[in-house]
Amino acid sequence: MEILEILLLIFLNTELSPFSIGRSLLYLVGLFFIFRKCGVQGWWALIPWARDYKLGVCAGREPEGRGLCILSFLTTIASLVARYIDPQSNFGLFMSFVAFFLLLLDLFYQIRVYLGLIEVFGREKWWILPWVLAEALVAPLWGLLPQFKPLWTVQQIQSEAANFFSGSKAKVLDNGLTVNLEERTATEFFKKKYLLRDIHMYIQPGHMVLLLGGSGAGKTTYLNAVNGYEKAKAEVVLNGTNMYKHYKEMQYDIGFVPQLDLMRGSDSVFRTLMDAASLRLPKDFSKADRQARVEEVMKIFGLTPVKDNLVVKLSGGQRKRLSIAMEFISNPSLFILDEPDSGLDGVMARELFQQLRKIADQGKIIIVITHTPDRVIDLFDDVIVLAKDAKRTGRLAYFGPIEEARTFFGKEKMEEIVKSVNREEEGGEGRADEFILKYAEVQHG
Amino acid sequence: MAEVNLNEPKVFRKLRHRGRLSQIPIYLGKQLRFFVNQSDWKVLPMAAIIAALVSMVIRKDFFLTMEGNLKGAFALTCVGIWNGCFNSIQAVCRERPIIKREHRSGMHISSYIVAHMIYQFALCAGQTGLSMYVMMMLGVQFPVPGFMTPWMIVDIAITMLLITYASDMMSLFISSLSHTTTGAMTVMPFVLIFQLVFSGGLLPLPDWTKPMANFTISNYGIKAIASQSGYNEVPMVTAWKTLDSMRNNEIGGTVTLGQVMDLLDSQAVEKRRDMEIMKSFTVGEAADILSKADDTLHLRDKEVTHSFTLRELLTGLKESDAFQQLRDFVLVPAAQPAPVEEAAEPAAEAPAEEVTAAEPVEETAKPAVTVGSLLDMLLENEDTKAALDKELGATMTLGQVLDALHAEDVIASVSDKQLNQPVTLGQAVDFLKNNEALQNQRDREFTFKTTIGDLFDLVGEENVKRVVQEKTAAASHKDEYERTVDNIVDNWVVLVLFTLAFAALATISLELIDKDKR
Repeated sequence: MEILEILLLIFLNTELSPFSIGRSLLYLVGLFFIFRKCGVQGWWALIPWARDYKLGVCAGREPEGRGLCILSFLTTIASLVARYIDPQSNFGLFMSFVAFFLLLLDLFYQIRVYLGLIEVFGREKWWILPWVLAEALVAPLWGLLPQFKPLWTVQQIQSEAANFFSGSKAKVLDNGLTVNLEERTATEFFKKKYLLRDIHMYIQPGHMVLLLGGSGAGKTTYLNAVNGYEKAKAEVVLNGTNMYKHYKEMQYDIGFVPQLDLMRGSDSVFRTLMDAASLRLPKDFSKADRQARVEEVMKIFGLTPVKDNLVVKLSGGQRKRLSIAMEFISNPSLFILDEPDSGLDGVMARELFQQLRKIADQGKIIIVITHTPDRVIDLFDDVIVLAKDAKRTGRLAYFGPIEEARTFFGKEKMEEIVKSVNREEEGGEGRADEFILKYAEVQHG
Repeated sequence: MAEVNLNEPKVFRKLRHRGRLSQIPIYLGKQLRFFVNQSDWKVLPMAAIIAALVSMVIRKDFFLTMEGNLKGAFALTCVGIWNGCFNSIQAVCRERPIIKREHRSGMHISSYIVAHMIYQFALCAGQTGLSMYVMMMLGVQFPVPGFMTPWMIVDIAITMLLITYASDMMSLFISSLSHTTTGAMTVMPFVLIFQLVFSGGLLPLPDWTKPMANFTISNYGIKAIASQSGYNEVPMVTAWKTLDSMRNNEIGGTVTLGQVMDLLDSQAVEKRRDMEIMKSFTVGEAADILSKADDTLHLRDKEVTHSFTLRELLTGLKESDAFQQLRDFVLVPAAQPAPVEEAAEPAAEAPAEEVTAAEPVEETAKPAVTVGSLLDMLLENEDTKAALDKELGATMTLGQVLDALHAEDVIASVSDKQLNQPVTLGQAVDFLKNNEALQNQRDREFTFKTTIGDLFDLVGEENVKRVVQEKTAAASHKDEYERTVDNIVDNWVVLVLFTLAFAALATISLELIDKDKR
């Protein structure tokens, strides 16, 4: 009898009473049919804990489903432990508190998942009350009645582009940047997720490259993979050196300017640059050499008049220039900038990009992410377009000269290109798969 | 440009960048500029204000009573934890993205943390020094000498510094874990509550929660300060103060003599039968005691007015035992009506004094005159009434009386003479129990009404105070607060270990900064 009770607790999350068992079975039947309506296999409803995750998936709220799954598992463990301890003992009281705490969290996650489900089924929000108070009745109602239909389902991806890869690799030369990225993955809740796949390119030295893509297309992930900060399954070669193998040596040959101005407001411009020089320049640089380099960089970026000002007192444009100057101090071969023009007006942004153009003309490679590319597009040589395929993986939709990009996408402006690859629900044209496939075929030859 | 074979080994020019040690001054400089330019200095006046507030609470009895001691230890520990926590709770999380960027540019996390450790140590030392000065200024009396150093204030300052620094490193660790300042400030109250509740100082902990106290800085801080300030060596005063505050409370009731007598059979009395309740005194000792008591009571200066009439004197004489023996002494024998010659013969045989005192023999028969009858006659005589009722007397001090009696000489001559045997409680109880008169009145009721203050006076206030304080102090004695070098050093070492452990944890957690979501 005890084993039966434990099995009921694990599989049905209920106790040994006809009413409780009946209620749980009703709920599971309802869940079975809801899963099927949502495009998830119905038998998941029979798997304890996993059914909570799948319910989250059906509701379009996977993270909450994950939380619900973990909480459900912990609640079961707590219930099992509670069976074997004296509820009046200190440990029993402690476990009661833990169980109460878990139940509160569980309820919180349940509400979020049910709200998602209500949204997916296009119903009014007041349905949350019946769901919370009488899930055993509502679940079969929604599962069995044909008028309860989800507005969208968990799709079985059949996209051709998502499953087609170019298979070609970019050439590796002793000068310039070669990126041969097979895949960049992340594991979330025991599941492998592809963030980027099949990106191959060679960028010539002296080129200033624009990196375009909608939000979530993987632009920053791509840049982090290129500079070796977050390694991918890839071969990245800068001026003939594999950056992944020699990251320590190459670390100072790459300048990465983050989107935000990440500097301490309490330092002066000069001190900020001196400290940056101390970190980035080799140890055999004397103090006088470092100071000379700082003076030189301040002059290049027009910071000499404000050298003694605190960073907190600088204008937006000055801060951007200081942020770039910090990376430029080590004279890197590859310069990556994540939205350097955010918060700047058109004039200041153009001035900034003109400075970057001058740096590129010294034989450096500059890769820039910007959301307002058209005002400075004449300063760029190439463009990289990243887009999410049907499986939500970042893919290369185009890499090459600006003019050819206009022809490839049939768009004049860069912002229109971004719009064309963005998903429809994001206000785009949803043609990402088309261009991904087209570009992959071009590469494949 | 030529194609490259990546399998060929690459030869690099050896470019050495700054190592861990040489990066420390860079970040130390940043911290100092933060102190000056970003108002980090504000923690110093804040520490002074907190110390002033605490001083007002603890200054009176910190080193004087057990309660004051524990209260002071708890308050100082709280000050240390508070200062330490708020020094660095935002130190890392407020610049987390900057750290991430710099880490990417070659910054070593360990250098960053060590720079923080050095800077925060200076900050904690400044706060501790300032707090001690403010406490001294506001009247917290630090005894001299100290236990570990020649000055108690230095002893306490070392502990305060260690508590503050360990707390500082604890919140540096929390700050390293938190991604935002809001996150860190949300966690902070829970940590503070845990530290205060599980300090094991003012709040007694149930046994099963005691192991948790081992993980709190406050526990070791309180132990160290209580040990240093001699917790076990000072009295506990709360019980006495409570009793003393009830001084004017009236107590009373009605009991029978039997109930009181029954108390003599109690176990408490039985156990103490051999207890000496009155020792034996020599005359000299008794005189000394009286003499000492006179220093405060001034009995010698008490005026003694003795006023009496001759009648009272004679009446008293008449009733005295000694007089009874003389009462029937015949002064003049009885006279029969007989010839004068016959009567004269026995008179000639009488003693001379009797003869002189004899009344002239009357012719008629007369009863004998005895001493008693003479006195009665005198008292009843109307002629002597006025004289007898006239008041006689004098007013003298007791000292004059004693001097007149040459009491000192008399006492000196018999000073070694024992006045009494020692009396045990058993003897006194037996006497009372065997006293028939008392036993016969067992049902007699007594109504008593008194105040607690009067009871103190009866037993001796100082005695009650001493006993209450000694007993409560003994009950509150704690080995872990014993003032020993081992105790103090052990606690100091644990605080240092906490500091190092939290600094190490901060380093480890910050090493994972690259895993932050963008």
